[in-house]
Amino acid sequence: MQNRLEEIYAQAQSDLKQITSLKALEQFKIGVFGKKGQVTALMKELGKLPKEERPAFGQKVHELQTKLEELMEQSRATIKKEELTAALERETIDITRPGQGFSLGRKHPLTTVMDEIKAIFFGMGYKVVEGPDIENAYYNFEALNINANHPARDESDTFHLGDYLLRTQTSPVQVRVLEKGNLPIKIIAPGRVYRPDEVDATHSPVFHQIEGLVVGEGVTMAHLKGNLLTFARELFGANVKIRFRPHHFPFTEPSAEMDISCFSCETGKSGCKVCRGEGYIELLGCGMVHPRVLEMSGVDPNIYTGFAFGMGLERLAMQRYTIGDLRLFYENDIRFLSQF
Amino acid sequence: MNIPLSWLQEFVKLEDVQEFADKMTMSGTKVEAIHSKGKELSGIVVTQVTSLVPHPEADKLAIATVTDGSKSYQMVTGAKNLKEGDFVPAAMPGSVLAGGMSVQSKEFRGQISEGMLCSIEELGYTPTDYPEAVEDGIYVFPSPPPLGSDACKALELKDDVIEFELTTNRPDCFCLKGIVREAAAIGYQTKEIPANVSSKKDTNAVKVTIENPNACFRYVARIVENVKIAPSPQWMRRRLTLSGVRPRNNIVDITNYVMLEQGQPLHAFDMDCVAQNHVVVRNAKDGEQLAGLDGSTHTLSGKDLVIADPTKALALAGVVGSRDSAISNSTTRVIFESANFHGPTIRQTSKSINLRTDASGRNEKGLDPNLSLTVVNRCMELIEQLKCGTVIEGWVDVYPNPVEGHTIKYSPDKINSLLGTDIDPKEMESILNSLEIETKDNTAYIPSFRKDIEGEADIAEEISRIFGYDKIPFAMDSITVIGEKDPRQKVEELILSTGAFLGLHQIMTYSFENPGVFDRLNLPANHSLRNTVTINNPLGENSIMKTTSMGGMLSSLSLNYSRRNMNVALFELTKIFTKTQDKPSEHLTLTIGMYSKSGVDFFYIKGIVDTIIKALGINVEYNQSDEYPYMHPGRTGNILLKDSVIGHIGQIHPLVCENYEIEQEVYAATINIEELLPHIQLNKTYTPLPKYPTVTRDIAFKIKQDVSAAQIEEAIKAETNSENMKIMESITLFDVYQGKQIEEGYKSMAYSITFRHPNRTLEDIEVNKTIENLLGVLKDKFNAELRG
Repeated sequence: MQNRLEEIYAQAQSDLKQITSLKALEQFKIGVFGKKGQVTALMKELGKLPKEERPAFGQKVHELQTKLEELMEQSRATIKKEELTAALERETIDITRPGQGFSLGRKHPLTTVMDEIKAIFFGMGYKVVEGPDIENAYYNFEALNINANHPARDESDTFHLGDYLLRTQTSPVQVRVLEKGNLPIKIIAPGRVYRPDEVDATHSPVFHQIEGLVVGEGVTMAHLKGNLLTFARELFGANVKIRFRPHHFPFTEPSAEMDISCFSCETGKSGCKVCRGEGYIELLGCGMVHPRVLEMSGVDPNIYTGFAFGMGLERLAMQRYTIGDLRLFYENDIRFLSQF
Repeated sequence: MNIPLSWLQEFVKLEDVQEFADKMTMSGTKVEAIHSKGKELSGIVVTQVTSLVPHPEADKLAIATVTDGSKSYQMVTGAKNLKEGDFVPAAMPGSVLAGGMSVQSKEFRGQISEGMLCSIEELGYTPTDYPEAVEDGIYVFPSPPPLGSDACKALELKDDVIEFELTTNRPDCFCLKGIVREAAAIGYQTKEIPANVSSKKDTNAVKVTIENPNACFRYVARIVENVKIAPSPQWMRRRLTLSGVRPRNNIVDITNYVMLEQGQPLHAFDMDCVAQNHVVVRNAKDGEQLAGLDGSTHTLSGKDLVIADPTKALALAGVVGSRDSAISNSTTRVIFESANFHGPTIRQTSKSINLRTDASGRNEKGLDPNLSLTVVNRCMELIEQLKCGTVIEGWVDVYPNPVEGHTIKYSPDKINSLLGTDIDPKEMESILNSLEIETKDNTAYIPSFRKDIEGEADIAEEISRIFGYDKIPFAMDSITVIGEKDPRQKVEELILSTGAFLGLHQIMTYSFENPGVFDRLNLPANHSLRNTVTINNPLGENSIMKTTSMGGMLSSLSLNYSRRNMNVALFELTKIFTKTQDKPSEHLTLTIGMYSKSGVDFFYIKGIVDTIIKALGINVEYNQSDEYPYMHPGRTGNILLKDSVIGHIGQIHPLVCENYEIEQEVYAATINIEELLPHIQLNKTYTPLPKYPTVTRDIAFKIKQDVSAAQIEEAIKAETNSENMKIMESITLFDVYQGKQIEEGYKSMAYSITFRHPNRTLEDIEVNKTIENLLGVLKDKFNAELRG
């Protein structure tokens, strides 16, 4: 009897070595513990034994049962591990194949640069204000101290729409804000402007400007310089140098043009495409708001002073992305748009 | 404006031209460029021809032997104008000519040429600059310079020309005198520009009448007789050429020279062409004609001012003279005109006849009338100096309303507080004085040539630009305004970023377009979109403001299609313009357009529109529409917000695609953002997460083909969210089937419906009951049958 138990165990050990699948293991289990299984048969025999032998033999069969279960458990663990390894092997993929093609859209490069500029001024406490594209001569010229004889007033330099016109600059927004009289004022006014310039690589009849206006008590030209230096550093990096050159605009006095050190060559190398060897690039026009402009909009120039500045977005974007032809912005070729 | 450095150096003591340029730029007189004329020329010396013999092997060549005073050289030349004894410039081996051409010894048919004899062209100039030069001949010095000396020096071939970019408010700077004045203000040592102030004597030799004193403020005339027309001397021609003015003859050159020197244009008339020796300044007659010196015949209007005699017009005042009264080689008597005109009148004429001259460019800016006598007298001085004729004593000066300078009170404190500086009032005074502005007790006496200085702010500018903008400190203001984006800006940003996330590329198109767009969109003649705001003076064909953004979108798609870009999805956020009784109105509009070989259909673009709208926190509905002539009548819908149409979406009509040459299905949508704005919900509040689980049921039923998804959805919502059972959470159509297993005229629709009770776990039994009721309703309403 004892031998049979040992035989069963030895047989099981050797059988299990051959088993490599969970299915076969299940078959094996049935062969051992099933209705006609070996261990089941032993249990049946137990009944036939003399009463006094039964506990000892029962004990042995139970031990065998436990040992066999352990063996099967080991085998199951091994098989599972092997099957997983095999499965992982099968599932190996060529990870160098291309990823799924999602199409990422883009904002227009002019929007991107505009957003960047807006964010800088927003961080400096400026409010963003917009105005209409269709204006009248008062807002576009008169209120900005551009009198009827000024060259900018030439019929042929403005698109006319009967009694109205397409604004030639974003400065009318200044006037509208001043007129409301909620002082102090600290705004930027981005927007579309229009001039009848024939289309070429650097001209477009439609383009964008960003205008800034700060008016309050005690606003000085030093503040103008400080604000614009901060702006230039945010936009072009902390090392950018700026310079202010005296200039002339009808709506500011004193007036200046602000240049920034060339971000491409930095030193003014001859042959630099960005600054043409000058070392500086013109960035914007600015100045202290002309007292007459304040006065015309009902702001007392004896109490309030202010500064204003304005820049062209297209030129800035062209410099930033080294785009040589302004027409690309309005052509909308997706191969261009998807680069930014 | 260009000024040769050598001319400037006669009046301004300056060594370092770059430093000068920088300083001028930083004080407001911008130097745009420094052009180096003749920079490359080297190794050209003055030689004399000692012998000249024909080339033994070539008929067209000659062999010249020249000497530089110490050594003889053999030079082969093709020129015909040489003779023995001539002094000529010779380029020795290793020398460089204009354009960078380098000269070496070279053999010509067996004869060595040890260098090259030079024409004026080879030295970078033309016979206009050096009238004694023979065209295509070797240059021969009229008066011999020392042998062996530098020919470039003898001919003054090398110079720097400084190009200034001046602002329109400073007409006084458009001349040597103005630049010298500015140089003096920034500390350069300068000399006075010649100004002849002879005492006044009247003359009867000419009579001047100003008929329109509002357009001609002053007219001075002087007369020169016994005129001998000849080229002006080399130094004058050279200065004119380098300044960009073409030399003509001694008389005309003198007027131009004085203009460049003093800033006021002058004109010279052949006195024999002036009837009755009487100059009349009057407005032109409508239709009056004048044959101009520029070569064209101009038809004038009553707005133009002419200089005339009692019988005919002699010149367009301040712009151009007439051919008939011009200085010619036979001229013997000359009237010099030195006049001051109303700038805008000159500008109007110059623009209307489309002619800009050196004279009109200066006159249109409005010059100082107090210059007129000085400059004409300066001309007379040069006439005598160059021996061009006999200056008649006295002049006629008609100056009805003499202009004087003006005074401005200024406060140094206010100026410092405007600039944010602490400039000493004494320094302010000395800056103003350096600009020829006298000061006393905080009053500035502004000379008549500085009409641009009108108030204290201008005084502040004069002080600050000479003080130096770079010396104004950098400071931050203490103005705090709460910078907040308004809802419109937030919405724009949200739309743009959502659109880009969804794979759309933002485009920008012009705000105006060709009215032909309406035909391309197949709009009938009376369609409301054709009622446009029109541009009076369009550039080319783009004469109307956009009433729809669809044309711009289709043009952009068309461009991409023509360039074989295969998958294109674009969007634009732009204004469209509507005509109204009053000021035209502007609406912000979102437009989406796309085509692709695969994957793009109505439901693709609808999904994009839905997602963008959802990002704005609103829900829209759709209904079928065939009212848009440019859209596919069966594949287009209105976009509805609370029952009002805010846009439309669908497939572009195939005929319109044909007009835009796109041979693919194009889908587009347009939404009026203005109508969305009041409904947009950007402020978010948190809704607690649900505590109880959901129950989901899928149902499929057979239904008549013409029942729309919207109708079914509405019916389901009504039933499942009835008064006492608000338990339906979501409903999703996941399959629509038509085919073999469904009889003709019917379709199968499969929905997944999710239920949830806010306060307790739902029981299967109540959900089943709801579904049963629902199917009953669908059967009653649409005769729908549940499918297995």
